[in-house]
Amino acid sequence: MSVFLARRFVTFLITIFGASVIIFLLLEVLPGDPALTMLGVDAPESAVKAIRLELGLDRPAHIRYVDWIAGLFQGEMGLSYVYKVPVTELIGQRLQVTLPLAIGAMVVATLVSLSLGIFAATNHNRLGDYGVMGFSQLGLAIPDFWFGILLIILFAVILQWLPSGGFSGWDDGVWRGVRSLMLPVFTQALSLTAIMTRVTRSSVLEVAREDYVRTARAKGLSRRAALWRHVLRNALIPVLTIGGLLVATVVTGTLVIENVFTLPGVGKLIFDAISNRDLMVVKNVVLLFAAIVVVVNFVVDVLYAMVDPRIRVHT
Amino acid sequence: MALLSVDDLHVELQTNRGMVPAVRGVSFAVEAGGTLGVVGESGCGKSITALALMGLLPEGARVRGRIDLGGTDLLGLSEDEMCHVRGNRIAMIFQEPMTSLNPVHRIGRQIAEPLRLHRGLRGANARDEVLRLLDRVGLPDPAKRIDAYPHQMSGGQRQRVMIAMALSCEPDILLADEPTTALDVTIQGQILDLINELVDDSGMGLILISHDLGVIGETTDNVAVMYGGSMVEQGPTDSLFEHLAHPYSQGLFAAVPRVGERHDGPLHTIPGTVPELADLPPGCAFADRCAKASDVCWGPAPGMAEVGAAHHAACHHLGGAV
Repeated sequence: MSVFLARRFVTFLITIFGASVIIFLLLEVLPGDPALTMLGVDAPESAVKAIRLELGLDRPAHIRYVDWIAGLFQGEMGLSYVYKVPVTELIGQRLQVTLPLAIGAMVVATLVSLSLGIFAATNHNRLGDYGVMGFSQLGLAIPDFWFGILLIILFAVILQWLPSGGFSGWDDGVWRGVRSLMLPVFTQALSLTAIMTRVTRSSVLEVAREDYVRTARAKGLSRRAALWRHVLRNALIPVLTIGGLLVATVVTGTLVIENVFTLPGVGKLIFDAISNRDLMVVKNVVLLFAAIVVVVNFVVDVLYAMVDPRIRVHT
Repeated sequence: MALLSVDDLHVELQTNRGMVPAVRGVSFAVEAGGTLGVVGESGCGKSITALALMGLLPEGARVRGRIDLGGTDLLGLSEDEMCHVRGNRIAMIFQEPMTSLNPVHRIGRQIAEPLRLHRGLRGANARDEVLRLLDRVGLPDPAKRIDAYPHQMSGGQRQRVMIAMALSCEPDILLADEPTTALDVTIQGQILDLINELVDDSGMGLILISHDLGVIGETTDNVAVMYGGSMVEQGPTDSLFEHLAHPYSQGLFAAVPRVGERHDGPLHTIPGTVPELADLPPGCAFADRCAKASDVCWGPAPGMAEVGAAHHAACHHLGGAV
């Protein structure tokens, strides 16, 4: 297991390094000079030069890249061009919104989709199955932002149970924060739930046809006991795969959700940073997103090995 | 009275072409310590018959007739009651040892499962019993192998584990569905010997399903030949092998190439293919592949007629075949 972990960690480092190079190069070749954006296109040449000097943009690209990476190793991400505060501070604040939102959406989606998927599989080709599949089809077809607006109309405008958007921080009480995040979490969870429900259902159905499940029944296990002891653990493997991949969707999806619900999260941060050419923020947030996705995939790999003993042998 | 007697068993399976008869009026009996071989081509209904005995038919299947185990009609039992019978009074070994064990659980745990379920054994007691069973089925170094995962074992070892599992609660009847088909020839003999030995020791009844006539001939006291969901011939193994009454049995035996015998020309085959169960001809199911078929064969299906001591066959042309 330790060899397995060490090997995965090296892969992690290589992937992050590759991502950092790509991000840096892309931002380098993309048009849009941060200095011009800050000062306006009519700014005098001398002022632009001064700003470029101040931001360190006059130095060659490879020096700036090395600076950036060296800073990262010391926990420094540089100063935001626009806000003039350390990017680490900005991201730290914004993660207080985005992390609960993303984790909440994953947790809700996992709980609901496992329950619905198993329910549908055990009621295969019956009314319950059709109902769940219909819901899942709908969940896939509805765009997130539109579902978010529907939820706002129902729960914030008509019923007035929950706020329509905004987030005043955790200092005003946990319950207030949770209330502000409820609608965003459900909005984000919808499509995840729809996808994972389908995967769970088909995976359970497939495993239930395996020979070893018949063996379990031949030992005298009831249908339900065979499902819990022999089907679910095996059926979990594809669900884990898809769940891991969906984390990337969640991370980038916060961009849309945080805009619909005007939440001051990382998604909103990068959205504004892109509009303002705040490249220092953009490259660090994108690298953070990449790191989250890679870390999650790493965790998924470890979980695989825990669920399926055959994987431990092959790696 | 026989330990297990099956009387006029019919099974219909749900397919996308509607309900299809897979087993049509099968009857047989197994005594305590007795062994019955069921032989026939793929799709003749032999595995479905076994699954019907276990109460593990696919969803939507319809079954009627009587399966009497020690005075209880298994078909009359509820699903809960059948759970107490399965793995306890009737146990089954399957064809594919590679896929019949759960890949994510250690084999010790898998063998202990019926012990916990039917005997209430737990913890160290269950583990001791599993070790004893593993030793009994001839798995080398049981203390080490008990914590192995299925993928760490060979096919033959896995089949021994399956046998240990099936034996765990000392069943009255052991169903073995092609237990050696997926194994190397050298391992096949070992597994068959093991099954034989266990049956002799325990006095349980054995139903051995196989398409391999050699396996059946070596292992069983009685043989039933199945075709198209029905039994076409049944009798004591010696008598049946000596004197094959049904044209299908004759064709089946003639199709086996014999070691040391030179064949000039093609091997012997039965013309045609096994009929789709949905398209069974009226009358005798074998009629359209049978060299002896005449008009009478397309009429009402022939009943079982005695052709020797306890030896029966279902054919309109038994006279000509003798």
